Amino acid sequence: MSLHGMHGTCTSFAEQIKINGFNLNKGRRGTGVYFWSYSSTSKQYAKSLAYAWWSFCSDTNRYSAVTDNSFALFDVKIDSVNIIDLEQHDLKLRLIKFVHDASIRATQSQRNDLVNKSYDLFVRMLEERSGPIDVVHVTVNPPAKKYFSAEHARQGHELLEAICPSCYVVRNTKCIQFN
Amino acid sequence: MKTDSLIAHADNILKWLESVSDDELFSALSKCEEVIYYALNHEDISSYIYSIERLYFDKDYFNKLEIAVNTYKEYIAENDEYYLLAA
Repeated sequence: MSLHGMHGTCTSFAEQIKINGFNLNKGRRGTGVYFWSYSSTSKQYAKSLAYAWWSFCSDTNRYSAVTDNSFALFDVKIDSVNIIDLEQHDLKLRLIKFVHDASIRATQSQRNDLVNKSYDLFVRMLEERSGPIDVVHVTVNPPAKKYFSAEHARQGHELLEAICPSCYVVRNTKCIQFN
Repeated sequence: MKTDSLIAHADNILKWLESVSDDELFSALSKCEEVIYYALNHEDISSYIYSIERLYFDKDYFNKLEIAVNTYKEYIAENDEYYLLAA
């Protein structure tokens, strides 16, 4: 199965990625490389989200140590059959219960990154049944409105933010092909 | 992947959650985060972890994974060339 996604970053990091490939990082929905998903009708929106993510990272000094922090975009194809859809209704209900039940048992200090850790643990345990999972489909909140470009509003994408956009969290970087 | 099978398995995961103590749960969450972050970035250890026999409700599972990863880290630390490739 082929999936399509966009990843926004700075030019310096992009140069490293082109040479060495993507590195997996801890994220809001577990460990992996995050791509805003798109189909033929939503490519521009995925670009807007990638831009807003880059803008958010710039604003929070994540690119402060690089030589070129200008916007860079990766448009990729993700090929794998080992995909799990955590937005699938019955599965998501169980995931929510898992995170909820873990969170109510957590002390204040244990609540740090609890959601990320819970996603990692839940997916890891699902792998016991499914085998290795290369890609996880999830929804995430969009970056705040101030991080989007003016073009985003002109294209009427602001209303789309009410729908939680979806991401592919790629756990096996071998599935990623640059377009 | 068959969704029905995964949903049934997710129910087992919830039973596991109910069965473990708070210490066991948060130890598993921390170790899982570290092990997954490391394993997914290193194909060799990832393959090894997937190949070892395990049961998720085995309370020693995450300890075994941690030992496996630490053993692997020691191995690559002893081999500079390999370490550079893996870093």
